[in-house]
Amino acid sequence: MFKKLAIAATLMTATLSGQAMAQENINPWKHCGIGAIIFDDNGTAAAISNIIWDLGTTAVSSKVSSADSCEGKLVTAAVFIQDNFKKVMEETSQGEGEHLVAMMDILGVEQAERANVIAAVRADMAIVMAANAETSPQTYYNAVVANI
Amino acid sequence: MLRRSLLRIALLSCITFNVLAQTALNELASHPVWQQLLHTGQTPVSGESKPFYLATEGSENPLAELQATLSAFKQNPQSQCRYPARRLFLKRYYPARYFPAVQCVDYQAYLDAFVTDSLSLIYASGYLGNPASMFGHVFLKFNSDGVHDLLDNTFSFGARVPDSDNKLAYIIKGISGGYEGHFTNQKYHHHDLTYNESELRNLWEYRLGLERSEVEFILAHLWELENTSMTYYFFRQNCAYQLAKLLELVIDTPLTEPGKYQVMPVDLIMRLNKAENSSPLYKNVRFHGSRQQALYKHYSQLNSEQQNTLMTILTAPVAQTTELLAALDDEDAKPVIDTLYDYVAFQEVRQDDVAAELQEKKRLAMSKRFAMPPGKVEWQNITPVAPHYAQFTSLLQTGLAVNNDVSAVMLRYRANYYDLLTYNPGRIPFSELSTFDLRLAYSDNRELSVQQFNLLKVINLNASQTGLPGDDALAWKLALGYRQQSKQCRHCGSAFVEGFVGKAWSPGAGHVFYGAVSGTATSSNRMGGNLAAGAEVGGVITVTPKLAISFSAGHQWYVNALSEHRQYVQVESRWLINQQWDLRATYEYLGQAEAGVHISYYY
Repeated sequence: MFKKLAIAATLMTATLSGQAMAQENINPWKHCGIGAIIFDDNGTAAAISNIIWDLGTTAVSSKVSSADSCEGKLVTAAVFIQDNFKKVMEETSQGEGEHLVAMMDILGVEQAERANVIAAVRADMAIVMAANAETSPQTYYNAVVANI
Repeated sequence: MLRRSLLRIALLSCITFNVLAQTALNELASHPVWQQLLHTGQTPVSGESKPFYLATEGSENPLAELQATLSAFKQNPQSQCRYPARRLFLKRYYPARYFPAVQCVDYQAYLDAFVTDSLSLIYASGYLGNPASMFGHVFLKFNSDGVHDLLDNTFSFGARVPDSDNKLAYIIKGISGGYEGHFTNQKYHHHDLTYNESELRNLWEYRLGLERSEVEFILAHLWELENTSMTYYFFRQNCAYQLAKLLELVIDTPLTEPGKYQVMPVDLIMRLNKAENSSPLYKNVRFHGSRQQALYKHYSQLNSEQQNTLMTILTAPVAQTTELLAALDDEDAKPVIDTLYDYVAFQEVRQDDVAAELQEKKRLAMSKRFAMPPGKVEWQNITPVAPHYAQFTSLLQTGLAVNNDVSAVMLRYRANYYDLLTYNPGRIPFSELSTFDLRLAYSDNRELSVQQFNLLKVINLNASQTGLPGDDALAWKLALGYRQQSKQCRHCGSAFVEGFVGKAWSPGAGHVFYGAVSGTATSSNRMGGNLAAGAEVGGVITVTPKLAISFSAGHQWYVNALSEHRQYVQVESRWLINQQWDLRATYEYLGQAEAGVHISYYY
C-alpha cells in the first residue's frame, strides 16, 4: 500500500515524494517535538495551544516551500489527527466524514484506495475500542500509517 | 538659427514630457488603490525585519513612495517580488513604464498554494465568554472547492496578545492601541476547531463574487504584509476594518459605514449585503454550525423513544449504557450515539472537567458504533436565519416619557450592539450586549439631564434548549455606568455596577423566564446605602416575530442600611418595522412610575 502512495507522490512532485521517503521512519511525536509543543491532556487546550503555535508561523512563504522532514505530509497528518482527534474518531466510528477525507487528502491517498484504507483503520480501531485499550492520536496515526 | 530652433523644440518637448509624466505620477499617487496599498491615512505598516515603506516618509506621502517604488523596481528588479501588488497596480495603471522581467520563485510557490477562483468572508458569531470575542470576528477563506474545506487556507487579522495579559489589560490595551495587529495564515480546520468546537460559535460563510484576478490581487497584497504589523484598535482598526480595507482593493465601494467611528464585524456583513450599488456583493451564504448547534439540530430530529433513550443513558448508571443501546436496532441507535457525541463534546466545553462516568458512557457508545455497519445518519439540514438580516448595530432613538405629569423628550444613542429585544438572529439566544448607551431627557422646564449611561451591559440567560442535563448554565448579568437613582428626581445620579446570577427557563422558541439573586453598588448613598442585594425575576416573550416584550422586577435591601430598600420594574415592548426602524413602548418604576413611547433608528 505504501508503495502505491509513494508512486502517487512521485507523480505529484519530486519534492513531496522525497519528503514521504524521508519521513517513513519518523515518529512525529518523538522526533519532531510536536508533542511537547502542542499536546496537552485536555483536548481543547491542545487545540488552542496549537493555534497559538500556528499563529506564530506568519511566514507563509517558508510554509509552502519548506522541505524539512518534520513538515512533510506524514507529520502534517499526525498534527491533523492530534488536533482533530475527537472528530476523527467519531467519523471513523461512523465510517465516513469530512475530517477523514481531509486526512486522506493530506496523505495523498488515491481516491480508489480511500474506502479500503478507512475500512481497515476502522477495523483496527474497533479492536482497540472493544479491548478497552487506550485510544490516543498516536495509536490512531499508527493504524493509518500501517494501512496506507 | 535653425539649430537654435530645433534645440528649443527639443527642450520644450522634454519639459512637456516631464510635466506630463509628473502629472501621471501625481494621479497615480492619489489613486485610492495605491493609497490603500500603502495604508495611507491609517495606522502605518511596520516591517518586522525590514521597513515596509521604501521612502522615508512613505506612510504619509504616497507620491514619494510611488517614486521610490518605481526607482527600486528599475534598479533592483528583485524588489518586484517583495511588492507583487504594487507591480500589478503599476502594470495596470502605468503600462507605459517598463520594468525588467524577474522570476519570483517564492511568490509563485505561494500563489500556486493559495490562489483560487473563489474567496469567502467568514463571520464568527459573538462569544460572551471573552471580551475579545464579544463582537464576533471575520476572516477570509480561499476556497479549494473540494468536498470539504478543512484544508482551505485562511487569512485573519488580530492582535498578538501576550499570555501574561489578563482580560482587563486586554480591554484597556485593546481600546487604546497597546497591541500590534498581524495578518496570519491558518488552515480552515483550525477555525473549525476553535470556533465551532472550542468556543461553540457559529460561522457564516459569505462567498464573494470576485474574479480570479481580483483574488490574486488580494493575495499579492497579503504577501506584501507578511512579517509586518499595524497598531490594533479594538473598536476601529480591528479585524473587520482591515478586511474591509483589503477587500476595497478590488471592490469599488466603501465597506465601512460612512460617518461611524467604530467598525464591527457584523457591520462588514451588512455592507456586503447592502452596498451602495444595491446588489449583494456575495454569491451565497453557507452555515457552519457549532457543536452546540449540532446537538440541538440532532436532538430535535430524534423521535421520542430515541430522546428518552438518550436521556436515560445520561442519567442512569454507566453499567446500563450498553444494555440501553442494545434495545434499539442499529438504525435507531446510530442517531442516539451521534447525538451523544455532540452532547459530550458540548459538555467538555461547558465544564472544566467532564465526569469520568460521562466519558465512559461515550466510550461504550462508540464501541457500539464501531461494531455496527458503517454509515452516517441522514440528518435534515436546518439553517438558522443569517446575521445580515439583523437590525443594524448603532442606535439613535427619540421619544416622549411622562413621569408624574411631567413630560420629557427622550434622546438616546447606543454605539452598539443589541439588547434583549433587538432583532438579531445571529446572536446568542436571550442575550444582550450594549456598550456606550447614553439616554438624555429634555423636560418641560427646559432642563437637559443624563438619565442613564451604560458603559457596558451584558446579559446571558443561558436557558436550556433540550432539557438534557447540563444544557443550561447560570443566567448572569453585568452592567456598569451612571444613572439617576430614582424616577422622582432629575439630578440624583451616581455611578453604578450591578449584576445578577440565577437560572433561566425557556418554555419554547422565543420565550424565556429567569429568577436570580442580584446586587448593586453605587457611588452615592442618597437612597440609603452604597451596596444593595436582593432578587430579580424577568423574561422575554416573543408574541409574533414583530412583537416582543421584555420585563424585569426586583427588590433589593441596602446592606449598609438594612431599613432602606429599592424596588424596580421595567417593561418594554418592541414592534419591529424593518432592519433600520422599530417602535418601543416602555414602563418603568423606580421610586415613581414613568411611561414612554420611542422610535428607534438603527444604522
